[in-house]
Amino acid sequence: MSAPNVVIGIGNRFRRDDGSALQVLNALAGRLPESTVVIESDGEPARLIDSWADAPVAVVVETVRQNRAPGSIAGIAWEAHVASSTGIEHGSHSLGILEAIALGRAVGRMPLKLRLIGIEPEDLGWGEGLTAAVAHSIDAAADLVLDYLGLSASASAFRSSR
Amino acid sequence: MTHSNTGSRTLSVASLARVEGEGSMHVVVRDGSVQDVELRIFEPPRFFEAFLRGRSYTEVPDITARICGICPVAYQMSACQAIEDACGVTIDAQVRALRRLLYCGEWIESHALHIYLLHAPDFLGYESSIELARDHRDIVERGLQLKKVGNDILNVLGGRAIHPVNVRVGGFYKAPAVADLAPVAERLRWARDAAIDTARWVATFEFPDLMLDGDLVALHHDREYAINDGRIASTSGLDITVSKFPEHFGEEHVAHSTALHGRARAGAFTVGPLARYNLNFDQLPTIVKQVAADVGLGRTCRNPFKSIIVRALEVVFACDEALRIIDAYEPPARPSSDMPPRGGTGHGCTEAPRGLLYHRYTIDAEGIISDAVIVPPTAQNQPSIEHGLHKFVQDRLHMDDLELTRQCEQAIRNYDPCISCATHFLDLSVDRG
Repeated sequence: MSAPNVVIGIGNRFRRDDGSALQVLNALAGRLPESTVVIESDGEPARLIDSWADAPVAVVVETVRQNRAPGSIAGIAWEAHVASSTGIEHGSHSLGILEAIALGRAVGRMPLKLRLIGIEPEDLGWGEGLTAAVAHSIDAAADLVLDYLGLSASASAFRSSR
Repeated sequence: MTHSNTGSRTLSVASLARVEGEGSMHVVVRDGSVQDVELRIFEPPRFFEAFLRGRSYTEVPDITARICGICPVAYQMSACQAIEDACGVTIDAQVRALRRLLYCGEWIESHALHIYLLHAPDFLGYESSIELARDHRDIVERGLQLKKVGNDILNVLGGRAIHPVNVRVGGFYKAPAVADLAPVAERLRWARDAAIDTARWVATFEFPDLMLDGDLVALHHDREYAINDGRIASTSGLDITVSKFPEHFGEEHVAHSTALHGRARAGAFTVGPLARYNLNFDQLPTIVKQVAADVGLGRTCRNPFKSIIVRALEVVFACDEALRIIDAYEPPARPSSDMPPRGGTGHGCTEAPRGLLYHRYTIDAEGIISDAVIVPPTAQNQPSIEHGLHKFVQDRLHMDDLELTRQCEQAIRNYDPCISCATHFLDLSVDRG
Protein backbone atom coordinates (compact mmCIF):
# COMPACT_ATOMS: atom_id res chain seq x y z
CA MET A 1 0.00 0.00 0.00
CA SER A 2 1.44 3.36 -0.99
CA ALA A 3 2.05 6.12 1.57
CA PRO A 4 -0.72 8.70 1.89
CA ASN A 5 -0.63 12.29 0.73
CA VAL A 6 0.19 14.80 3.46
CA VAL A 7 -0.99 18.34 4.15
CA ILE A 8 1.12 20.27 6.67
CA GLY A 9 0.28 23.65 8.19
CA ILE A 10 3.16 25.47 9.89
CA GLY A 11 2.45 28.26 12.33
CA ASN A 12 1.80 29.61 15.79
CA ARG A 13 -1.78 30.59 16.55
CA PHE A 14 -0.66 32.95 19.30
CA ARG A 15 1.24 35.15 16.84
CA ARG A 16 -1.69 36.56 14.87
CA ASP A 17 -1.18 35.96 11.13
CA ASP A 18 1.48 33.32 11.83
CA GLY A 19 -1.54 31.12 12.55
CA SER A 20 -2.89 31.41 8.99
CA ALA A 21 -1.71 27.96 7.88
CA LEU A 22 -3.45 26.37 10.86
CA GLN A 23 -6.67 28.08 9.79
CA VAL A 24 -6.21 26.62 6.32
CA LEU A 25 -6.12 23.16 7.90
CA ASN A 26 -9.40 23.97 9.65
CA ALA A 27 -10.90 25.10 6.37
CA LEU A 28 -9.95 21.76 4.81
CA ALA A 29 -11.82 19.74 7.43
CA GLY A 30 -14.19 17.34 5.66
CA ARG A 31 -12.85 18.25 2.22
CA LEU A 32 -9.98 15.80 2.00
CA PRO A 33 -10.01 12.04 1.37
CA GLU A 34 -9.83 10.12 4.65
CA SER A 35 -6.46 8.73 3.65
CA THR A 36 -4.85 12.18 3.54
CA VAL A 37 -2.78 12.92 6.61
CA VAL A 38 -3.19 16.44 8.03
CA ILE A 39 -0.47 17.71 10.35
CA GLU A 40 -0.11 20.85 12.43
CA SER A 41 3.56 21.78 12.68
CA ASP A 42 5.80 24.31 14.35
CA GLY A 43 8.25 23.93 11.48
CA GLU A 44 10.80 21.82 13.34
CA PRO A 45 12.75 20.15 10.53
CA ALA A 46 13.14 16.60 11.85
CA ARG A 47 9.42 16.26 12.45
CA LEU A 48 8.69 17.79 9.04
CA ILE A 49 10.95 15.22 7.39
CA ASP A 50 9.23 12.41 9.29
CA SER A 51 5.87 13.81 8.24
CA TRP A 52 6.47 13.93 4.53
CA ALA A 53 9.01 11.18 3.82
CA ASP A 54 7.82 8.94 0.97
CA ALA A 55 4.47 10.72 0.57
CA PRO A 56 3.32 10.87 -3.08
CA VAL A 57 2.37 14.51 -2.58
CA ALA A 58 3.10 16.75 0.40
CA VAL A 59 1.58 20.22 0.50
CA VAL A 60 3.04 22.59 3.07
CA VAL A 61 1.27 25.84 3.95
CA GLU A 62 3.25 28.49 5.77
CA THR A 63 3.37 32.21 6.46
CA VAL A 64 5.86 33.66 4.00
CA ARG A 65 6.93 37.29 3.85
CA GLN A 66 7.63 38.44 0.32
CA ASN A 67 6.58 42.08 0.66
CA ARG A 68 3.33 41.49 -1.13
CA ALA A 69 -0.11 42.65 -0.11
CA PRO A 70 -1.27 41.02 3.15
CA GLY A 71 -3.26 37.90 2.41
CA SER A 72 -1.56 37.28 -0.93
CA ILE A 73 -1.23 33.58 -1.67
CA ALA A 74 1.60 32.18 -3.71
CA GLY A 75 2.97 28.83 -4.67
CA ILE A 76 6.63 29.03 -3.68
CA ALA A 77 9.29 27.75 -6.05
CA TRP A 78 11.37 26.46 -3.16
CA GLU A 79 13.83 24.61 -5.41
CA ALA A 80 15.65 27.81 -6.32
CA HIS A 81 16.00 28.91 -2.70
CA VAL A 82 17.24 25.59 -1.42
CA ALA A 83 19.60 24.97 -4.34
CA SER A 84 21.19 28.40 -4.11
CA SER A 85 21.89 28.55 -0.40
CA THR A 86 23.91 26.74 2.22
CA GLY A 87 23.26 28.90 5.25
CA ILE A 88 19.63 29.73 4.70
CA GLU A 89 18.45 32.82 6.53
CA HIS A 90 15.18 32.78 8.37
CA GLY A 91 13.28 35.63 9.91
CA SER A 92 12.57 34.11 13.27
CA HIS A 93 13.15 30.44 13.82
CA SER A 94 16.63 29.49 12.76
CA LEU A 95 15.58 26.07 11.56
CA GLY A 96 12.56 25.88 9.38
CA ILE A 97 11.03 24.75 6.13
CA LEU A 98 13.97 25.47 3.83
CA GLU A 99 16.41 23.71 6.17
CA ALA A 100 13.98 20.82 6.41
CA ILE A 101 13.88 20.54 2.63
CA ALA A 102 17.66 20.76 2.31
CA LEU A 103 18.16 18.24 5.11
CA GLY A 104 15.48 15.93 3.74
CA ARG A 105 17.22 15.94 0.38
CA ALA A 106 20.62 15.32 1.97
CA VAL A 107 19.36 12.22 3.77
CA GLY A 108 17.04 11.09 0.98
CA ARG A 109 13.81 11.50 2.90
CA MET A 110 11.56 13.59 0.70
CA PRO A 111 8.07 13.23 -0.73
CA LEU A 112 7.82 12.43 -4.40
CA LYS A 113 6.30 15.86 -4.94
CA LEU A 114 6.51 18.78 -2.50
CA ARG A 115 4.41 21.91 -2.94
CA LEU A 116 4.81 24.97 -0.72
CA ILE A 117 2.09 27.58 -0.36
CA GLY A 118 2.95 30.92 1.21
CA ILE A 119 0.49 33.34 2.78
CA GLU A 120 1.68 36.92 3.19
CA PRO A 121 1.12 38.15 6.77
CA GLU A 122 0.21 41.61 7.97
CA ASP A 123 0.63 41.30 11.74
CA LEU A 124 2.99 38.85 13.49
CA GLY A 125 2.59 40.37 16.93
CA TRP A 126 1.31 38.64 20.03
CA GLY A 127 -2.34 37.65 20.15
CA GLU A 128 -4.92 35.35 18.68
CA GLY A 129 -6.88 35.85 15.48
CA LEU A 130 -5.94 36.77 11.94
CA THR A 131 -6.07 40.21 10.41
CA ALA A 132 -9.01 40.73 8.05
CA ALA A 133 -6.91 40.56 4.89
CA VAL A 134 -5.30 37.26 5.87
CA ALA A 135 -8.55 35.77 7.19
CA HIS A 136 -10.12 36.61 3.83
CA SER A 137 -7.47 34.53 2.03
CA ILE A 138 -7.94 31.29 3.95
CA ASP A 139 -10.56 29.71 1.71
CA ALA A 140 -8.56 30.47 -1.41
CA ALA A 141 -5.45 28.93 0.17
CA ALA A 142 -7.47 25.83 1.06
CA ASP A 143 -8.67 25.62 -2.57
CA LEU A 144 -5.06 25.81 -3.73
CA VAL A 145 -4.15 22.91 -1.44
CA LEU A 146 -6.94 20.87 -3.02
CA ASP A 147 -5.71 21.85 -6.46
CA TYR A 148 -2.18 20.71 -5.64
CA LEU A 149 -3.58 17.38 -4.44
CA GLY A 150 -5.44 16.95 -7.72
CA LEU A 151 -8.80 17.57 -6.10
CA SER A 152 -10.85 20.38 -7.52
CA ALA A 153 -12.53 22.53 -4.88
CA SER A 154 -16.00 21.80 -6.28
CA ALA A 155 -15.38 18.05 -6.40
CA SER A 156 -14.16 17.94 -2.84
CA ALA A 157 -17.11 20.02 -1.65
CA PHE A 158 -19.39 17.48 -3.33
CA ARG A 159 -17.52 14.64 -1.61
CA SER A 160 -17.87 16.23 1.82
CA SER A 161 -21.60 16.84 1.35
CA ARG A 162 -22.41 13.20 0.67
CA MET B 1 28.13 41.87 11.07
CA THR B 2 31.41 42.92 12.58
CA HIS B 3 33.42 46.10 12.73
CA SER B 4 36.89 46.55 14.07
CA ASN B 5 39.57 49.08 14.59
CA THR B 6 42.69 49.16 16.69
CA GLY B 7 41.92 48.10 20.24
CA SER B 8 38.20 48.64 19.81
CA ARG B 9 35.85 46.11 18.32
CA THR B 10 32.16 45.51 18.20
CA LEU B 11 30.92 42.04 17.43
CA SER B 12 27.29 41.90 16.60
CA VAL B 13 25.23 38.97 15.42
CA ALA B 14 21.78 40.17 14.54
CA SER B 15 20.21 36.77 14.36
CA LEU B 16 21.79 33.82 16.10
CA ALA B 17 21.79 30.78 13.88
CA ARG B 18 20.99 27.35 15.25
CA VAL B 19 19.38 28.70 18.39
CA GLU B 20 15.78 27.74 19.04
CA GLY B 21 13.98 31.01 18.63
CA GLU B 22 15.04 34.56 18.21
CA GLY B 23 18.13 36.10 19.70
CA SER B 24 21.12 38.30 19.03
CA MET B 25 24.49 38.94 20.56
CA HIS B 26 26.41 42.19 21.05
CA VAL B 27 29.98 42.36 22.34
CA VAL B 28 31.87 45.64 22.84
CA VAL B 29 35.66 45.72 23.20
CA ARG B 30 37.47 48.92 24.18
CA ASP B 31 41.22 49.37 24.56
CA GLY B 32 41.83 45.66 24.49
CA SER B 33 39.30 44.81 27.19
CA VAL B 34 35.81 43.40 26.89
CA GLN B 35 33.55 46.20 28.04
CA ASP B 36 30.13 44.79 27.49
CA VAL B 37 28.43 41.53 26.50
CA GLU B 38 24.72 41.48 25.83
CA LEU B 39 22.67 38.53 24.78
CA ARG B 40 19.47 39.98 23.47
CA ILE B 41 16.57 37.61 23.62
CA PHE B 42 13.30 38.58 22.09
CA GLU B 43 11.15 36.74 24.57
CA PRO B 44 7.49 37.61 24.63
CA PRO B 45 6.63 40.11 27.36
CA ARG B 46 4.82 37.63 29.49
CA PHE B 47 2.14 37.00 26.92
CA PHE B 48 1.22 33.59 28.24
CA GLU B 49 1.10 34.64 31.88
CA ALA B 50 -1.37 37.36 30.95
CA PHE B 51 -3.25 35.00 28.65
CA LEU B 52 -3.73 32.49 31.47
CA ARG B 53 -5.28 34.98 33.89
CA GLY B 54 -9.03 34.56 33.94
CA ARG B 55 -8.87 31.09 32.39
CA SER B 56 -9.97 27.87 34.06
CA TYR B 57 -7.33 25.79 35.84
CA THR B 58 -8.24 22.86 33.57
CA GLU B 59 -7.08 24.78 30.48
CA VAL B 60 -3.51 25.21 31.70
CA PRO B 61 -1.92 22.09 30.12
CA ASP B 62 -3.32 22.85 26.66
CA ILE B 63 -2.32 26.52 26.75
CA THR B 64 1.15 26.08 28.24
CA ALA B 65 1.94 23.27 25.77
CA ARG B 66 1.93 25.95 23.08
CA ILE B 67 4.66 28.01 24.71
CA CYS B 68 7.35 25.87 23.10
CA GLY B 69 7.24 23.42 20.22
CA ILE B 70 10.46 21.78 21.37
CA CYS B 71 9.56 21.21 25.02
CA PRO B 72 5.75 21.26 25.37
CA VAL B 73 5.83 18.41 27.90
CA ALA B 74 8.04 20.39 30.27
CA TYR B 75 5.55 23.27 30.28
CA GLN B 76 2.65 20.89 30.75
CA MET B 77 4.32 18.97 33.58
CA SER B 78 5.39 22.02 35.60
CA ALA B 79 1.95 23.51 35.06
CA CYS B 80 0.08 20.37 36.13
CA GLN B 81 2.26 19.97 39.19
CA ALA B 82 1.58 23.58 40.24
CA ILE B 83 -2.19 23.28 39.76
CA GLU B 84 -2.25 19.96 41.63
CA ASP B 85 -0.26 21.59 44.42
CA ALA B 86 -2.81 24.39 44.61
CA CYS B 87 -5.68 21.90 44.73
CA GLY B 88 -3.94 19.61 47.23
CA VAL B 89 -4.10 16.57 44.94
CA THR B 90 -1.60 13.71 44.88
CA ILE B 91 -1.42 11.72 41.66
CA ASP B 92 -1.40 7.93 41.25
CA ALA B 93 2.06 6.27 41.18
CA GLN B 94 1.51 4.80 37.70
CA VAL B 95 0.32 8.16 36.41
CA ARG B 96 3.50 9.68 37.80
CA ALA B 97 5.50 6.98 35.99
CA LEU B 98 3.67 7.71 32.73
CA ARG B 99 4.47 11.39 33.10
CA ARG B 100 8.11 10.49 33.62
CA LEU B 101 7.98 8.31 30.50
CA LEU B 102 6.47 11.17 28.51
CA TYR B 103 9.21 13.44 29.79
CA CYS B 104 11.86 10.89 28.72
CA GLY B 105 10.44 11.14 25.21
CA GLU B 106 10.88 14.90 25.25
CA TRP B 107 14.45 14.68 26.56
CA ILE B 108 15.33 12.23 23.77
CA GLU B 109 13.73 14.44 21.11
CA SER B 110 15.14 17.72 22.32
CA HIS B 111 18.65 16.50 23.08
CA ALA B 112 18.94 14.57 19.81
CA LEU B 113 17.84 17.68 17.90
CA HIS B 114 20.41 19.82 19.68
CA ILE B 115 23.28 17.35 19.45
CA TYR B 116 22.90 16.40 15.79
CA LEU B 117 21.29 19.36 14.07
CA LEU B 118 22.40 22.35 16.14
CA HIS B 119 25.62 21.71 18.04
CA ALA B 120 27.70 18.96 16.38
CA PRO B 121 28.24 21.00 13.19
CA ASP B 122 30.13 23.55 15.33
CA PHE B 123 32.64 21.01 16.52
CA LEU B 124 33.15 19.47 13.10
CA GLY B 125 33.56 22.74 11.20
CA TYR B 126 30.32 22.64 9.25
CA GLU B 127 28.08 25.62 8.62
CA SER B 128 25.00 23.55 9.35
CA SER B 129 23.61 20.07 9.77
CA ILE B 130 22.79 20.09 6.05
CA GLU B 131 26.48 20.20 5.12
CA LEU B 132 27.17 17.64 7.83
CA ALA B 133 24.52 15.35 6.33
CA ARG B 134 26.02 15.66 2.86
CA ASP B 135 29.34 14.31 4.14
CA HIS B 136 28.09 12.04 6.93
CA ARG B 137 24.61 10.98 5.98
CA ASP B 138 24.67 7.88 8.19
CA ILE B 139 25.45 9.94 11.31
CA VAL B 140 22.71 12.48 10.72
CA GLU B 141 20.25 9.69 9.91
CA ARG B 142 21.10 8.11 13.25
CA GLY B 143 20.31 11.42 14.95
CA LEU B 144 17.01 11.74 13.12
CA GLN B 145 16.02 8.17 13.98
CA LEU B 146 16.98 8.70 17.60
CA LYS B 147 14.91 11.84 17.75
CA LYS B 148 12.00 9.96 16.19
CA VAL B 149 11.97 7.45 19.04
CA GLY B 150 11.34 10.36 21.42
CA ASN B 151 8.65 11.48 19.04
CA ASP B 152 7.09 8.01 19.18
CA ILE B 153 6.77 8.20 22.97
CA LEU B 154 5.06 11.57 22.69
CA ASN B 155 2.70 10.20 20.05
CA VAL B 156 1.68 7.17 22.11
CA LEU B 157 1.31 8.96 25.45
CA GLY B 158 0.59 12.52 24.43
CA GLY B 159 -1.74 11.79 21.54
CA ARG B 160 0.55 13.64 19.18
CA ALA B 161 4.15 14.86 19.12
CA ILE B 162 3.48 18.58 18.95
CA HIS B 163 1.40 20.15 21.71
CA PRO B 164 0.34 16.84 23.31
CA VAL B 165 -3.42 16.69 23.84
CA ASN B 166 -3.72 13.70 26.19
CA VAL B 167 -2.34 15.50 29.25
CA ARG B 168 -4.74 16.93 31.84
CA VAL B 169 -4.42 18.22 35.38
CA GLY B 170 -4.54 15.16 37.59
CA GLY B 171 -3.14 12.79 34.96
CA PHE B 172 -4.11 11.79 31.44
CA TYR B 173 -7.37 11.61 29.53
CA LYS B 174 -6.50 8.06 28.57
CA ALA B 175 -3.81 5.70 29.85
CA PRO B 176 -2.10 3.40 27.33
CA ALA B 177 -2.54 -0.36 27.43
CA VAL B 178 0.59 -2.45 28.05
CA ALA B 179 0.41 -3.60 24.41
CA ASP B 180 0.50 0.03 23.22
CA LEU B 181 3.94 0.45 24.74
CA ALA B 182 5.51 -2.75 23.43
CA PRO B 183 6.46 -1.37 19.98
CA VAL B 184 7.94 1.70 21.66
CA ALA B 185 10.08 -0.50 23.90
CA GLU B 186 11.40 -2.31 20.84
CA ARG B 187 12.53 0.97 19.28
CA LEU B 188 13.93 2.17 22.62
CA ARG B 189 16.29 -0.79 22.78
CA TRP B 190 17.78 0.32 19.45
CA ALA B 191 17.77 3.94 20.65
CA ARG B 192 19.69 3.14 23.82
CA ASP B 193 22.48 1.60 21.75
CA ALA B 194 22.38 4.53 19.32
CA ALA B 195 22.59 6.95 22.25
CA ILE B 196 25.68 5.13 23.54
CA ASP B 197 27.22 5.43 20.08
CA THR B 198 26.30 9.11 20.13
CA ALA B 199 28.09 9.66 23.43
CA ARG B 200 31.19 7.92 22.11
CA TRP B 201 31.04 10.01 18.93
CA VAL B 202 30.68 13.44 20.55
CA ALA B 203 33.36 12.61 23.13
CA THR B 204 35.88 12.53 20.27
CA PHE B 205 35.31 16.24 19.50
CA GLU B 206 37.88 18.84 20.50
CA PHE B 207 36.71 20.97 23.42
CA PRO B 208 38.05 24.45 24.18
CA ASP B 209 39.10 24.94 27.79
CA LEU B 210 36.45 26.81 29.69
CA MET B 211 35.24 26.53 33.27
CA LEU B 212 31.71 27.45 34.24
CA ASP B 213 31.75 29.78 37.27
CA GLY B 214 29.02 30.11 39.83
CA ASP B 215 26.35 27.91 41.25
CA LEU B 216 24.73 25.03 39.38
CA VAL B 217 21.06 24.53 40.21
CA ALA B 218 18.82 21.55 39.49
CA LEU B 219 16.12 19.38 40.96
CA HIS B 220 17.43 16.58 43.14
CA HIS B 221 15.69 13.37 44.12
CA ASP B 222 17.30 10.86 46.46
CA ARG B 223 16.16 7.73 44.58
CA GLU B 224 16.19 8.74 40.92
CA TYR B 225 17.76 11.12 38.41
CA ALA B 226 15.35 14.00 38.92
CA ILE B 227 13.06 14.91 36.05
CA ASN B 228 9.52 15.52 37.17
CA ASP B 229 9.87 16.23 40.89
CA GLY B 230 12.29 16.64 43.75
CA ARG B 231 13.86 19.36 45.82
CA ILE B 232 15.78 22.29 44.36
CA ALA B 233 19.48 21.81 45.06
CA SER B 234 22.68 23.60 44.12
CA THR B 235 26.39 22.94 44.14
CA SER B 236 26.78 25.55 46.87
CA GLY B 237 24.52 23.57 49.18
CA LEU B 238 21.06 24.97 48.55
CA ASP B 239 18.37 22.42 49.40
CA ILE B 240 14.82 23.77 49.33
CA THR B 241 11.33 22.68 48.46
CA VAL B 242 9.89 23.88 45.16
CA SER B 243 7.56 26.26 47.02
CA LYS B 244 10.60 28.18 48.28
CA PHE B 245 11.73 29.02 44.74
CA PRO B 246 10.43 32.61 44.82
CA GLU B 247 12.37 33.30 48.02
CA HIS B 248 15.67 32.33 46.43
CA PHE B 249 15.27 33.09 42.75
CA GLY B 250 13.78 36.01 40.92
CA GLU B 251 13.70 37.70 37.56
CA GLU B 252 14.51 41.26 36.62
CA HIS B 253 14.16 43.49 33.59
CA VAL B 254 17.33 44.55 31.83
CA ALA B 255 17.47 47.31 29.27
CA HIS B 256 18.88 45.29 26.39
CA SER B 257 16.43 42.38 26.33
CA THR B 258 12.71 41.87 26.36
CA ALA B 259 13.33 38.63 28.28
CA LEU B 260 13.48 38.76 32.06
CA HIS B 261 16.85 37.72 33.48
CA GLY B 262 17.07 35.13 36.23
CA ARG B 263 18.64 36.22 39.46
CA ALA B 264 19.45 34.12 42.51
CA ARG B 265 19.84 35.59 45.96
CA ALA B 266 23.22 33.86 46.10
CA GLY B 267 24.44 35.25 42.73
CA ALA B 268 24.85 33.99 39.15
CA PHE B 269 23.76 30.45 38.51
CA THR B 270 23.29 27.97 35.70
CA VAL B 271 20.57 25.39 35.13
CA GLY B 272 20.49 22.57 32.59
CA PRO B 273 22.22 19.28 31.80
CA LEU B 274 25.57 20.24 33.38
CA ALA B 275 23.81 21.22 36.62
CA ARG B 276 21.81 17.99 36.65
CA TYR B 277 24.88 15.87 35.95
CA ASN B 278 26.98 17.50 38.67
CA LEU B 279 24.24 17.35 41.27
CA ASN B 280 22.71 14.00 40.43
CA PHE B 281 25.50 11.77 39.13
CA ASP B 282 24.95 9.27 41.95
CA GLN B 283 21.34 8.75 40.83
CA LEU B 284 22.28 7.79 37.26
CA PRO B 285 21.87 4.09 36.42
CA THR B 286 25.00 1.96 36.12
CA ILE B 287 24.83 1.82 32.33
CA VAL B 288 25.13 5.63 32.10
CA LYS B 289 27.93 5.81 34.65
CA GLN B 290 29.77 3.15 32.65
CA VAL B 291 29.42 5.06 29.37
CA ALA B 292 30.57 8.24 31.13
CA ALA B 293 33.66 6.42 32.35
CA ASP B 294 34.27 4.93 28.89
CA VAL B 295 34.26 8.39 27.29
CA GLY B 296 36.43 9.89 29.99
CA LEU B 297 33.89 12.06 31.76
CA GLY B 298 34.21 12.12 35.55
CA ARG B 299 31.43 12.56 38.06
CA THR B 300 31.67 16.34 37.70
CA CYS B 301 32.02 18.48 34.59
CA ARG B 302 32.05 22.29 34.43
CA ASN B 303 33.18 22.79 30.84
CA PRO B 304 30.08 24.09 29.02
CA PHE B 305 31.45 22.85 25.68
CA LYS B 306 31.27 19.33 27.09
CA SER B 307 27.56 19.77 27.70
CA ILE B 308 27.14 17.99 24.38
CA ILE B 309 28.58 14.85 26.00
CA VAL B 310 26.31 15.26 29.01
CA ARG B 311 23.30 15.63 26.73
CA ALA B 312 24.28 12.42 24.98
CA LEU B 313 24.57 10.67 28.35
CA GLU B 314 21.15 12.00 29.28
CA VAL B 315 19.76 10.48 26.10
CA VAL B 316 21.23 7.12 27.17
CA PHE B 317 19.61 7.67 30.55
CA ALA B 318 16.23 8.68 29.08
CA CYS B 319 16.14 5.60 26.84
CA ASP B 320 17.11 3.31 29.71
CA GLU B 321 14.65 4.94 32.10
CA ALA B 322 11.85 4.75 29.55
CA LEU B 323 12.50 1.03 29.15
CA ARG B 324 12.51 0.54 32.91
CA ILE B 325 9.16 2.35 33.22
CA ILE B 326 7.60 0.35 30.37
CA ASP B 327 8.83 -2.93 31.86
CA ALA B 328 7.21 -2.10 35.22
CA TYR B 329 4.07 -0.54 33.78
CA GLU B 330 0.61 -1.57 34.90
CA PRO B 331 -2.25 0.60 33.71
CA PRO B 332 -3.59 2.76 36.54
CA ALA B 333 -7.08 2.08 37.84
CA ARG B 334 -8.03 5.55 36.62
CA PRO B 335 -5.98 7.67 34.20
CA SER B 336 -6.43 10.81 36.29
CA SER B 337 -7.24 11.88 39.82
CA ASP B 338 -10.31 13.93 40.66
CA MET B 339 -9.37 17.58 40.65
CA PRO B 340 -12.01 19.70 42.36
CA PRO B 341 -10.81 23.31 42.42
CA ARG B 342 -9.60 24.78 45.67
CA GLY B 343 -8.60 28.38 46.15
CA GLY B 344 -4.89 28.89 46.75
CA THR B 345 -1.44 29.10 45.25
CA GLY B 346 0.54 26.15 43.89
CA HIS B 347 4.14 25.72 42.75
CA GLY B 348 5.53 23.35 40.15
CA CYS B 349 9.08 22.66 39.08
CA THR B 350 10.41 20.08 36.63
CA GLU B 351 13.55 19.58 34.58
CA ALA B 352 12.96 20.76 31.03
CA PRO B 353 15.66 19.58 28.61
CA ARG B 354 17.30 22.99 29.05
CA GLY B 355 16.94 23.05 32.84
CA LEU B 356 14.74 24.01 35.73
CA LEU B 357 11.29 25.24 34.70
CA TYR B 358 9.21 26.85 37.45
CA HIS B 359 5.46 27.63 37.36
CA ARG B 360 3.26 29.23 39.99
CA TYR B 361 -0.51 29.71 39.78
CA THR B 362 -3.04 31.29 42.08
CA ILE B 363 -6.60 30.10 41.56
CA ASP B 364 -9.88 30.94 43.25
CA ALA B 365 -12.44 28.52 44.68
CA GLU B 366 -14.02 28.11 41.21
CA GLY B 367 -10.66 27.29 39.64
CA ILE B 368 -10.21 30.59 37.82
CA ILE B 369 -6.58 31.66 37.53
CA SER B 370 -5.85 35.08 39.02
CA ASP B 371 -2.07 34.99 38.76
CA ALA B 372 0.49 33.01 36.75
CA VAL B 373 4.28 33.07 36.88
CA ILE B 374 6.45 31.06 34.47
CA VAL B 375 10.25 31.10 34.80
CA PRO B 376 11.87 29.25 31.88
CA PRO B 377 15.42 27.90 32.00
CA THR B 378 16.83 30.15 29.30
CA ALA B 379 15.81 33.26 31.25
CA GLN B 380 17.58 31.86 34.29
CA ASN B 381 20.73 31.12 32.29
CA GLN B 382 20.93 34.43 30.48
CA PRO B 383 23.14 36.28 33.01
CA SER B 384 25.38 33.23 33.26
CA ILE B 385 25.73 33.04 29.45
CA GLU B 386 26.71 36.72 29.32
CA HIS B 387 29.17 36.30 32.18
CA GLY B 388 30.76 33.28 30.52
CA LEU B 389 31.02 35.10 27.18
CA HIS B 390 32.78 38.03 28.83
CA LYS B 391 35.69 35.85 29.90
CA PHE B 392 35.54 33.72 26.76
CA VAL B 393 35.94 36.75 24.48
CA GLN B 394 38.63 38.34 26.63
CA ASP B 395 40.79 35.21 26.27
CA ARG B 396 40.30 35.17 22.48
CA LEU B 397 40.82 38.79 21.45
CA HIS B 398 43.73 37.72 19.26
CA MET B 399 41.27 36.06 16.88
CA ASP B 400 39.86 37.92 13.90
CA ASP B 401 36.26 39.05 14.13
CA LEU B 402 34.90 36.28 11.95
CA GLU B 403 36.44 33.46 13.97
CA LEU B 404 35.69 35.14 17.29
CA THR B 405 32.07 35.63 16.33
CA ARG B 406 31.80 32.00 15.23
CA GLN B 407 33.24 30.78 18.51
CA CYS B 408 30.94 33.04 20.52
CA GLU B 409 27.94 31.60 18.72
CA GLN B 410 29.19 28.11 19.51
CA ALA B 411 29.65 29.07 23.16
CA ILE B 412 26.06 30.34 23.31
CA ARG B 413 24.81 27.11 21.76
CA ASN B 414 26.43 25.24 24.66
CA TYR B 415 23.41 26.34 26.67
CA ASP B 416 20.91 25.28 23.99
CA PRO B 417 19.02 28.52 24.52
CA CYS B 418 15.37 28.29 23.66
CA ILE B 419 13.40 31.43 23.19
CA SER B 420 9.82 30.47 23.55
CA CYS B 421 7.09 31.25 21.16
CA ALA B 422 9.07 32.34 18.18
CA THR B 423 7.02 32.90 15.12
CA HIS B 424 7.58 30.39 12.40
CA PHE B 425 7.30 32.51 9.34
CA LEU B 426 9.77 32.49 6.51
CA ASP B 427 11.44 35.66 5.24
CA LEU B 428 11.94 35.21 1.55
CA SER B 429 13.72 37.58 -0.81
CA VAL B 430 13.21 36.89 -4.44
CA ASP B 431 15.54 38.09 -7.19
CA ARG B 432 13.15 38.85 -9.98
CA GLY B 433 16.11 39.88 -12.20
